[in-house]
Order: sequence, then structure tokens, then C-alpha cells
Amino acid sequence: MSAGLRPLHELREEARAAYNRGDTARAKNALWQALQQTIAREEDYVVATTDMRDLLLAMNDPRGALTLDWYAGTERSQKNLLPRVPPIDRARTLLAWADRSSDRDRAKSVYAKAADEYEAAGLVAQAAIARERGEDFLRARALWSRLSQILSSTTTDLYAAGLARFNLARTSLRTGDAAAAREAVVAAVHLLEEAADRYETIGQRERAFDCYQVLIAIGRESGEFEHVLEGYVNVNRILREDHLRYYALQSYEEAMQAAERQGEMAAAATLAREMAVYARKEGLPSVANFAMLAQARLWQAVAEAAQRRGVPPQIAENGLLASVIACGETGQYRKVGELYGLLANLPLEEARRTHYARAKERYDDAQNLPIDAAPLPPHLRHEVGFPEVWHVDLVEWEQQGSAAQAAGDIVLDPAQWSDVTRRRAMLARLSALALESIDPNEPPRRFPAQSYIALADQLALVELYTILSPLERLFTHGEASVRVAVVKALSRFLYKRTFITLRAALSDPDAAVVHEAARALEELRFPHAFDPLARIYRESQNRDVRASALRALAKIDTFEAAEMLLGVLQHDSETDRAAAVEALRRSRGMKFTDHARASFGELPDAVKVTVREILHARGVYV
Amino acid sequence: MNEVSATGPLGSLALSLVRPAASMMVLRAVKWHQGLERLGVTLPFFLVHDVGMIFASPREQYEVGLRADVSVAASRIRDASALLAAYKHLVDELLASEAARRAPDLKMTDDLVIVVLSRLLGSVAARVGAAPPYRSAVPVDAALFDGIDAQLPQLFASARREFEARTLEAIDAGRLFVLTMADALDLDTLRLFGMLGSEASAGAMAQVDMLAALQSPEANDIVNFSLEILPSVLETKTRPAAGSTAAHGYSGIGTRGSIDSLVLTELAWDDLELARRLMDNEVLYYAREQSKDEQKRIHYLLIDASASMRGDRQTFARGMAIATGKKLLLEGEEVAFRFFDSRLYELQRARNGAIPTGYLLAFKGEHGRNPARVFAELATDLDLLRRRDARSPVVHLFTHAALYIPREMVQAVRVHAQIAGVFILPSGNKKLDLDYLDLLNAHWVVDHATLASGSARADAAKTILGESKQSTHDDAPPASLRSGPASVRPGPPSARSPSMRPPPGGAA
Repeated sequence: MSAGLRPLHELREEARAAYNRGDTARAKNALWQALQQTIAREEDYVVATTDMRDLLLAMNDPRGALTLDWYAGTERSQKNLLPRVPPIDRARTLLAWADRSSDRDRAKSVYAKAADEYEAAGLVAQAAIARERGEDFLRARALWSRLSQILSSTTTDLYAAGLARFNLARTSLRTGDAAAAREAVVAAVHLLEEAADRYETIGQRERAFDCYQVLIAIGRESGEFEHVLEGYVNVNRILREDHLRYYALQSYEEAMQAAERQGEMAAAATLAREMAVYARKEGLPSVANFAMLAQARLWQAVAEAAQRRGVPPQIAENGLLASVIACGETGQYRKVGELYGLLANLPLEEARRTHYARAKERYDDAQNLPIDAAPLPPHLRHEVGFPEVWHVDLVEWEQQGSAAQAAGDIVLDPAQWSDVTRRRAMLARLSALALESIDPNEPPRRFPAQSYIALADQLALVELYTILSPLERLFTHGEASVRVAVVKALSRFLYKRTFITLRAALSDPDAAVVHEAARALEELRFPHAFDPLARIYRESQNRDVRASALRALAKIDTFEAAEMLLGVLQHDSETDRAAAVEALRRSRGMKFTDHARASFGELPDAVKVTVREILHARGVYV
Repeated sequence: MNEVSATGPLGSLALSLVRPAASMMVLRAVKWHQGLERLGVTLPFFLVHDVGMIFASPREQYEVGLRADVSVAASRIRDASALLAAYKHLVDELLASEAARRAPDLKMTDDLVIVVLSRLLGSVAARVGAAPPYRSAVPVDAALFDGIDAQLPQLFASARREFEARTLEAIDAGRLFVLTMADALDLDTLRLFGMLGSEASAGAMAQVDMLAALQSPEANDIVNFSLEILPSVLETKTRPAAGSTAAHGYSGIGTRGSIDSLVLTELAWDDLELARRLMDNEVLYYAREQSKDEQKRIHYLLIDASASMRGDRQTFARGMAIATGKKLLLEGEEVAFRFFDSRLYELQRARNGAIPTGYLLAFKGEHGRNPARVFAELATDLDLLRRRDARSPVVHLFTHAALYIPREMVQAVRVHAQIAGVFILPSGNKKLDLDYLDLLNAHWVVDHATLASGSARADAAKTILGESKQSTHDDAPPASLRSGPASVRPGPPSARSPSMRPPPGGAA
């Protein structure tokens, strides 16, 4: 605890005294200060939340009281509050009870009640999800169908419409209506493919990534492997392009396994080949060898399957020859000899069989070269699976950027989030409740800008992806000071989606917003930020913004960033060159050093001098 | 000849083990050497020369043996004797390989030889780890090679030979891999290049495409499938049509022609009536059997290259596209190929009867699909084409059955072109369910089971090829729309409505 903070018990004492005097405002203020200490010990913090809950109840704020009870309360303590809060809060509370219930039958009935409340609040997607969790697929299906119709007729959000159709397909399958499921799958695929292409066209690859993940899920649900394959190939491509190499390699492995399970050996072998090439390019020889050996095994499986199917022997021959090459490339010559033996036994023309028999003899005494071959090691794997975006993203769409709702979901999920994160989300929700109206049709109420700035500051501390949507909504506020606070908050959100709002901020009519957005850019220096940063650098007319982008790029240690910065030194304006030199002098990435050294001989003399200066500043001499 | 850029490479022939019968043959080796450098495969001239000759020339056109005394090599290369013995061992094994035995019969173009050499020797170049001390630039002059053997000691001494030495060491170390690649060389692909042409986009790009095709195991399946169905296609002849040129025999009667082919009974009309018939173009002439006077159609073969096509679907679609393209070319039609996924890729035209085979085998689509965008672009392209080109476009679509093109987009394309489609049913799906099928002039459906069975697959392909001929030439609806084997499903009854028939005149 820092020196400036007062102890929690002292603040609670002050609140109690103020309350006894009838000064509820002061009591609230003292407890509010206590709750700001989000890294306090759990026992102390819980008592403070209980005090605040009681105070808010006394002040006739049941929503705030329930929010505090969500943090550490129980069903019993929440039960009495439920009749006093709107349906949306009741629904969320009931959903949490059902999720935690170990009695399956009771959980089902509570899910049903939660769904009823969501429906009463006009929240179709969340009602449908509650119905699904309660295994009431018939009513869930009706809700998804309703949502699909709404989305198809009223919005241009192809992604949300695609997700709704997919949910309709899933629930139709579970209710045994194959024809309706098929129709919904067709529509979902169509919408998601188009959405993915649009996202990629406007440079939002991360959104396209979500579309392709859903395509994989659609393929799995519908049994149409083509969708699984298309999804995986595109997911792998996007991960490669974003330099997320461990994710990409893991995804390749998953795709190979999926293809193999489906009996699509040729597709699996092709994926193994691409994985080997990629792993070698990324300097991971043992993973490359592993993929190469997998490729050899899979091509042999292709040949065996071809023989079983009775297709022309040339198909089996191709499979075995591809396996020969894969084994040859890894120096597994004994295995090559065995494969030639198999080739010699195929019912091919005599000359060919003689040739293969002769080739086999060459490897009789050959030995396999010792190689290091292993899959991606466990410590580089990411075991957290892809979220069910077909639910999560529709919930986000339905919440329309409500900070109270997004934060509420975090508070109610102790299994997924740490206490500190939940405390911060709780505070953000308490602030948001006062600012947001329950009814979306109600005209927005206006509060002082300072209230929104405080909310942005609190949201900033949560740092979770689900908070981006409320920040994006806050950014549409008319007051520049609010937008500045939002942009400042965004600098803590290391997601590609953050750049969507930042790019808007960079062309804001208010100079303070632009200035803060340029500063925020410099904080977003993760490897897959290369594309949006490079785009901002190329498109911005503002030299300060370009300089910020260059500073961020100089801290990204990838070959593409190094190549681009060397290009800036060679071809761009004097101002940009100076900014790049300054940024490169301060950064320590080895990729720029390696690339500059390799290209040094081909650089113009003036650039050589500059590069030499930069490298000298880093202690490297050329 | 004092330039080290010429004496350097030529002097390396002192290490050569292959002596061609004619100097002219060596000029091809110069071209191969240049081509390989362009592909980034830097090797000494002697190695390119020797291995190239083995794979490109019949055995009787060259002798095998050292062209200069070992002492010449030993003057610059340590352990020259042992390294040359190892090289000789490799050359002997290559000569004994099936690929070397059969490859000369394929009469490969220089582009193809370059690609084969890159495939075989790329690993050697990667192992060398040294750059030549000269920049190779051998003049293309056969006279240079006349009596060159006598000058080899002097030429060999004109440059440092570490590069050649490192190469011989790399050959020794990588011998087994070179032989593995030679034994596994896909001669069928080379044969297909020979049959269909590989020069449609000649030059470095063609080489890159061909190399990618040779390196791609999936391409081998397409090649085999194409070779399976092509023999029936190669029987195709240019369709006879009535023309006016004085060649071949008479095939009928028409209203165009010269005076020497006038139907004699025309002269029986009185002068006035004959003059009127001449003015109204009613006079009859004997018409000749020959190709059409001018092309009337251009065929766009649109192939789905999205990731979901991988595997058997890709083999069938591309094999069918190659065979359809060849068939149309043999019929005298103009053909162009286009791949699509979420983009509509660049048009690749067949030129001089040659199909861009390497491109078709090697093209790799990695994106998803966006049929609405692709067909909107196609409609725009066709609209522009129709403004400057009177020929009628015919679109042949090869895709899988989940291609959900918005109906209005198909209608937009249909305004400008005839459309025929081959749809491959997805796994686990038994029904083609697309709302635009009735807009197509013809369509065929191939199910997953058919793709999985070799003979059924070829039969399905041949059936479609046979029927597509009818659908693109006859006024009647194609046979597939009336009947067909179970694996090649006919389209829905709605596709048989008269309005869907090709217009009179036989255009698709």
C-alpha cells in the first residue's frame, strides 16, 4: 500500500461515523475510496464491499448494491435484491446461479428463468444462450431464428448475421431438423465468407480470423470438411502474416489432425508440407523435421488409401514418391529404400517396377541420418481454446458497448478472472450504472464530461478484450476531453482491434485527441501490430503521428519491421529519416541489426553512414 | 577470349564428363546455365552442362568420359582425383536411372530442362557455400566450342576454382539425395508439359510455375488424372464448318463464296432476277469443309482455388479444366483460364495452342471465398469485353457445391455470357442446393464417392467432356440434363426449360 493511501479500516470507520450522522454522501465517498484499493487483502476488501452494498441499499440504489453483492455475496444475499432490479440484472444474476449450480435439474430451471428475464429485457441473443445452456434447444432455436430475421432485415453487419445463422443451424441440428440446419449452414457460410473478405480488405485481419474460426466450427457441426479446411488454411495464413509463429505452428498441427481424422490424407499431407516449410523459414529445424516426417507418413497413408479404393496405381505411386522425397529431404535413406520396395510392388508397367526395384538396391546399406524432430514443445503451446465467438460476439453486439453490462459479466465470472480484475470491473460497472440508461430506446441522459473520463480511467485498468467495445462507444462522445481519456485508456489494450479506434482518433478534428493517439501508438508495440502501424505510417499526413509510428515499429523485432525501417532510411523524407534514426538508436531489436548488416553492401553511401551511426549507438560495428 | 566471365565458366568444362557430338548442343547448356542463375541456383557450368545433356539429349548424341586430364583439375583442386571419381560415380548412376533413360524422349524445352535441373541440383547449390569468383556471361556462339577441349587446360587456369571444388565436395556429400530426386522425378508431369505445351507464359515466370508444379505432390495427381482423360480429348478435331476458302472438299451450300463455287443452276435465272439475287445476297454457292472463317467465341475457364477445394476436389477441378481447355483449343476455340477464391485472379490465355500448364498445376489459393465480389468483377470484365470484342464469352465454372453466388450476380454474368458449371458435392452432402442453377446453360454434379473411385472419376470426367461438347455446340439441351450416370447427376427439371437453352446459332 502506498504512503498516500489511508487504511481500509480507517475509511470504513469514517463511513460508519458519517452514516450514523446521516451524511450518506460522505459515507459513500469514504467507502468508494476504500474500494479503489483493488490490491488489498481479500478479507478486508470483501468487508468493504459489504459495507458499501448496505449503504447503497439504504440510499435506494439496488442495482449498485447487487453489483457489490456479485463480488462476494451468495444466492441468499442476492435473492432479496432481485425484485428491486430491472430484468437485465435479474437475468444476469440467475445465469450466474445456474452456472454455479451442481444440481443439473435445478440449473435447467434457473437457466429458463434467466432466459425469461432476458426476453423481458428484449435481449434475444442472451435469452437464446440461456435457453441453450438449459438444454431447451427448441426455444433457443426459435430465438436464434428471430434474431437471424432481425439481423438480415435491419443491419449490414454480415458477421453478426452469420453468427446468428450458425447458432440457428446448431440448434436446428439438435432439434432434429436437418433441412433447416442445412439452410442455415448455407447462409452462415455465405455471410461469414463475405464478412471475412470485407474485413481483410479494410485491413482488419483479426476480425477475419474470427470469421474463419467460426467456419471451422461450422464444418465440424455440419460434417462438411471443406469448411474446416478453408477455415484452418485461412487461420494459418493470418497467423503467419501476423508473425504469431507458435500459434501458427500449433494451428497447423490441429489442422493436420482434423484432416487425418476425416480421412483426408492428401489435405493433411499438404498441410504438413506447408508447416515444414514455415517452421524451417522461422528457424525451427526440429519442428520442420517433425512436420516433414509427418508428411512422409501421410503421403504413404494416401498411397495405402488409394490402393484400398482401387484407384489407378499411379495415384498410389504419386503418394509413395512424395513420401520418398520427404524422407530424402530429412536424410531418412533407409526409409527411402523401403518406400522404393513398396513402389516396386505396385501394379505398374514393368519398366517402372524394374526401375523402382533397382532404385531400392541403392539404399540397401544406407543409414538414416540422425535428426532432431519434435513437435512444438509444450511451453510454447497455448492451451486456451478459441472462445465460442458465435455466442460471445453476439452478446457484445447486443450489449451495444454498454460498460455496465461488459463489466458485469467480468464481476460474475470468478472462475475466469482474478480478484483484482473483478474488483476493477466492479468499480467500472458502479460508475457506468449511473451514466447508462437501462432502456436503449430512452434518450441518452447527459452528465458532466468528468464522469465519462472517470469511467474511461476505470475501464483502462481492466485491460480485457471485452472492454474494447465500451471504450469504442465512449469514443463517440462529443467532448474532446472524453475522447482523449478513451485514447489514453486504449494504450493499455494490446490488441489489434485497438487500432481501429486509434486510427479514427488520429484523424480527429481536435488536436489534443490526435496528440494523445500518437502517444498511445508508441505503447502498442507487439509483433502483430506491424501491419496497422505500417499502414498508419504510410497514410498519415501528420509528421508527429508518423514519428510515433516509427518509434513503435523500431521496437517491434521482426524482419518486416526491420526491412521497412531500412526502406525509410533510404527513400523517405528527411523528417521521417531523422525520426527513424532516433527511434532505431534507442531500440535494441536484433532483426534490424542483422538485416542492416546483410544489406550493408548494397546501400547507397549516404545511407551506409546513417546505418553505421545507428549500429554504433547500439555497440555494433560494421 | 580473355574475359574471365567467359573463360571462368568455359574452363570448368575441364571437369566435365560429357562430350556432346555437336558444338550447337552446348549452346543449350549456356541457356540452361543462365536460366538457373535467374532462378537463384548458382552452379558451375560443367555440372549444368553434363546433367542437362543426360536428361535432354539422346544417349547417342554424347560420349561419357573426362574431357581433360586429371592433372589439369589437380593443378587447382585439392583431392581432384577422388572428387572426380565421386562425380563420375554420380554421373554413371544418373545415366542408369529411369528418368535419364526416358527424359530425352520427352523432347523437353529449355525452360523445362532448367526446371528439372533446378529440382535435381538445387540441394547441391544450397550446400556449396561459396560464390564463383566470376560473373558468368558466356557468349551464345557455337564457334566458341569448336575444338574447345584442347584449350581447356589454359581456360581452367584462367580463374580460381574454389567454387568448382566446393561443388564437387557438395556433390559427393549429397549424392544420395540427388539420386533420390532423379529417381523420384515425375516424368508424367514432364510428359503433360510436352503434350499441352509449357510456353504459354514463357520465361522466368513459366519456369517458376513449372518448378512449383514439379515440387508439388498434389500436382502429380492432377497430372495423372489429366493423362487419364486426355487421350479421349486428343481425338478431338477442329470442328468442320462451312467456309469459302478454296481448300478441302465441298460440304454444303451457303450464300457466301466466289464465282468458281457458284451453284450452276443459279445461271438459269434471267438476268434481272439473278441481279436481284446477287444484290439481296440470295445466290447460292457450294461451301467448303474447313475451319470457320473467324472465331466467334472465347471460353473462360473459371476454377475455384479456395482452400476448401484442396485434395480430391482440386485434382478433379483442375484436371477437368486442363482437359476442357485442350479440347476447346483443338476445336479451334479461344481459351483463357482464371482462378478465384475471394479474388478473381489474372487472366491466363492459351497461346499458340499451348495451355499455361505450369500455372494451372501450381497455382495456390489460400484465401476464403467471396462469390458475390468475384462474380461482380466477372460481370464487369465481361461487360467491358463485350464493348470491344464481338466474340461471345462462354464461362465454364469448376467449383464445389457450396458456392453460394447471389442470384442477381449470376443474372448479371448471364447477360453477357453463357455459363456452364461443374459442381463437386461436399463430403457428407448428397444434394446440390443452389438457387441459381436454373440460370446456367448446363451444369453437372459430381459426388464425393465418385471422386474417391478412380474409374468412376475418369468416367464422370469423360461424360462431362462429351456432353459439354454438345452443350456448347448444339441447340438442344445437353444430354446430362436429360439423363446421365448416377455419379454425374443431371440438373433439376427447371434447367430444362426452353428459356435456358443455348440461343440459336450454337453458341454454348
